[in-house]
Amino acid sequence: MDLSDETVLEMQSALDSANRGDQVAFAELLGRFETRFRDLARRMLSSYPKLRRWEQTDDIFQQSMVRLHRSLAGAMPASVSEFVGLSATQIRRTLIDLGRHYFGPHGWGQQHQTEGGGRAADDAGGAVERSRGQQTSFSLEEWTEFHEAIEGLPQEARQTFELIWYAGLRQTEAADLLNISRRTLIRRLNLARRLLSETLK
Amino acid sequence: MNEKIEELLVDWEIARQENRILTPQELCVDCPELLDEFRKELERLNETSWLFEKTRAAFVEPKMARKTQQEFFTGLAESRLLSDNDLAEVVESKVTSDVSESAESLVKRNKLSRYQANVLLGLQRGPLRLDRYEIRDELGVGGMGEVYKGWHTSMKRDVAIKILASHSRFSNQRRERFIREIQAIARLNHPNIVTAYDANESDGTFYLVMEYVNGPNLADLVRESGPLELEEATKIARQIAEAAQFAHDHGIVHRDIKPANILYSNNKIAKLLDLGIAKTRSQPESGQDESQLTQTNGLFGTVAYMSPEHATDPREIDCRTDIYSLGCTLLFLLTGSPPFENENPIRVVLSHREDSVEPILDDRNVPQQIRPLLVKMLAKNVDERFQTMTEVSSALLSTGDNAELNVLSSKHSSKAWQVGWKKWLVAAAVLVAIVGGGYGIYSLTKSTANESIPEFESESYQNDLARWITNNGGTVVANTEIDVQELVSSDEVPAGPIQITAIELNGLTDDFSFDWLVRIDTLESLRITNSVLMEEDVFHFGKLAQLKELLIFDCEVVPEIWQAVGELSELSNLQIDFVDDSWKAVESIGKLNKLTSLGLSGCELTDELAAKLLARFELRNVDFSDTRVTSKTLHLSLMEAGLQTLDFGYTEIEDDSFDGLPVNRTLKRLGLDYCNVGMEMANFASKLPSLKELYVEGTEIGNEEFLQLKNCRNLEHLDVSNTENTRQALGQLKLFPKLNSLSLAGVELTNTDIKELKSVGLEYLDLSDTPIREPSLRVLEGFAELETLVIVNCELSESALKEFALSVPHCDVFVEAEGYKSSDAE
Repeated sequence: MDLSDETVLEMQSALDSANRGDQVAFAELLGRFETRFRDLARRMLSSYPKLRRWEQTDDIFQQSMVRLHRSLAGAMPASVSEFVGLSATQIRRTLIDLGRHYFGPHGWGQQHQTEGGGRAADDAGGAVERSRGQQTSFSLEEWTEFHEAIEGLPQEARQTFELIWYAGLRQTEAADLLNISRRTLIRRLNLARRLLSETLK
Repeated sequence: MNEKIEELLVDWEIARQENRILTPQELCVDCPELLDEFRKELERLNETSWLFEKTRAAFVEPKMARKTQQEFFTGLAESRLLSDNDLAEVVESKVTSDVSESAESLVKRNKLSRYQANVLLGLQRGPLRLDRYEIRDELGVGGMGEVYKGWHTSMKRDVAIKILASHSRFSNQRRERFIREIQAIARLNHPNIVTAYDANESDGTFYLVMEYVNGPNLADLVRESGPLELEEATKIARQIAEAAQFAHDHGIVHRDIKPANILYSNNKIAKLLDLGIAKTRSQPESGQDESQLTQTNGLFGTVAYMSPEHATDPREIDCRTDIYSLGCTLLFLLTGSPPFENENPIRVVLSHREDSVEPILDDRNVPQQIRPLLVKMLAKNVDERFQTMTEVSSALLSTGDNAELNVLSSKHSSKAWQVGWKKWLVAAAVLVAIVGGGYGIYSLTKSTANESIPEFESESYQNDLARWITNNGGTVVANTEIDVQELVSSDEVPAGPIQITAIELNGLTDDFSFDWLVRIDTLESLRITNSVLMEEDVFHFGKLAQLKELLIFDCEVVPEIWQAVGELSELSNLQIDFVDDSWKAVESIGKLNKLTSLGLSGCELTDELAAKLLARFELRNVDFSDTRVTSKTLHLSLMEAGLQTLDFGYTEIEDDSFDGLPVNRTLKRLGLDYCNVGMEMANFASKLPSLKELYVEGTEIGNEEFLQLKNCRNLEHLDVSNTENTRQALGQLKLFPKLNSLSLAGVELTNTDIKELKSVGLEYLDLSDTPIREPSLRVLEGFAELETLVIVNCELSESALKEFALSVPHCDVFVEAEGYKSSDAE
């Protein structure tokens, strides 16, 4: 996501309009996260290979997007930094919902015993290619657990990770937004990564 | 962690981002003692480096490992898709055949479906079996799970199976609650709702088993064939409005009405899908737990068809949200697009909330006569919309000038018909008979064609009419100069004067007129099946003052039928199935002083309405199958002094309902097909002194129940078709003192089982849909008393059947099912 000074000014103006009740301005504001959110949702759903047709995942994405809209509309922040932070948190929570609601943290494919055709865990793309230290694909269950694990991070590490990973900010943009140095940001991000690595082992 | 190492890791990251290549040694040049620990921490950090790789732009189909020959045969054996013989044959051939050839050969011989073969070969992923369902094909995948075409192995029918959800963390209580909720919804039965047969859990997977509808969904239909004509679109909308009203009456809001959730069968019946995952309106919100499974509280519904209030606060929605979604759907059917489209779904939500629909109707040239209706359905404010689906339905009826709109869709499934008229149906469904070894092939169910009725000017118009009806597949009963004759072909119509007393018609469409009926002042019985009856038709019925018997099955009829029926003061037998607005029946038929037989199978009948009817009439024959009546009505019915037949099949009657019921001393026939009955029912039945016929198809009765039922000292006919537990109990049938007629259709019989029946002394035996083979025919040759054998849909060769028929000249053998054309005969 581009957070140049110009963009921040535009966003602040849109946010002010949205706070005065301009729903279209709010929709446009939220639309700035759409690409990142769609990428994350798509990445998560790609572990569910039966959803091959894009329209199927798009349908699910749309519903998640509306849920995100609803959750943000209920707590309209005043500043761009708050808006971005809250959006990042809500994107993460919406992705957890996506995993839980549509396929379950223990997605049906993980449980569904078949006969003669092998376990349907394979269906859900559950076969995670784990080479030590290089995890390249997650099952939906694992994705959901991953998003939930972020919740357990220390506040500063979680906030940093959310801005980088869920909101798609560059490190410099996130550092500016949090009013911290780049080195501090990387330190917090490294902490988040190390803790995640432990949790997900 | 050592602070120095932490700083080194930050340096490492900054260097990496700036594309400066640094080695750990270079970084730790001032602190070599930290090198090992730094390397270890770096390795830990790299374990999450995948997080920051670019996301994949497209889905990558995971590689599938093609199965080895051994894996294929192991999978095939474990799947239990083949009979032992077929499996042995395939295994024997594996030495010489390639595994793909074996699979291909099985597909060509219809032993495996293409899907099953692909799964077994490792070319496709998917289940092969789910409890008693064999999975035959994948029908679709969507947000709510996957849908498969399945086959109920004992009931022998196609089904659609939707995998709903799975959750290993659910408590038993929550699992049971979920199953109960879905099963409650599954009990809804409406011609325009995809019937749910079953809901269950298997290994943590919750699934819903539904009617398999042969036809596309409306989204695919419009995508492939373009928008629909006004007439067809409004007819579909009306059918769905009625279905939704039915669901609303039962406290259920669909919440996701959209073209993709409406199937359109090949015979033009629209059926609403996915009712099982809607919100139960009357249910209090009870926290997140349940909502996670059934989506009751979550945002659900595709944005393009979503009402404004649904997107804002799904907890506040009611049945009017379905009206909005149906409006969007109707617009899609007429124009090929929903009202609002935008790549940004939030803009679509806002358009639903803010943008006027009138300009869209103008832009798309929507027919003028439907516009006011669409505007009202798509009102932003729920109070400005139609308030009920009944209002929508009525408005659709008065919209447009086509006759089609005057047809209410009340077409019912045939299952309830089978309950009330089982014996008749068996006879009618069987088309090919091998009688006494000769080959006689004839059609009993050919439709009455919709050719114009000839003008009957002459005095012999009843003869002309009888010829016309019989020429077109109907049946006539008439008084002739000699006696009473049943006329099934025009050749049989005598030249002399006749008086038609009974007519049976089948397969009439809406452009067929009944105005000629009123001229037959001798008509006492009218039976119409599988037809469309318009308002003016039922108006004509009302003029048949002399009619004593009116039977209407499997027809589309208008609610005005009740008013017409109320005029038939001589009526003693009324059987109508699957007509809505049954409360009108209570008002109208209450005037019929002579009514003694009443059948309302599949109608909207509650205990309250049934109580009024039972209080009004002294009924001898009661068919309340497939209705909402409970044990209360069963109790009241059994108190009828002269009761002869009672049918409560396909109802919610439970086994414990039979504890303490009044023992009716006149009841001869009791129907409880597909009810949850067992030992208590058997105890009760054994106390009925006059009981001759018992229908318990599709129930769970077994050995213990048979032990009790043998005390039914007058029982002559027993129907235990499609049961799973009776096979082991067949040996006891010889202890039934008067049993001479038995239906075992759909039971997984073996040759040994057939042998068990030999000493029963059966005169009638139905073995349709059973896996019997030629050796069983040789056993059946020894059934000395057998007069009728029905073996419809059995895999028996024609030569074996011919040989068998010749060997049993005393027995009529029925072998082919409905749909067989007389023109196919040799």
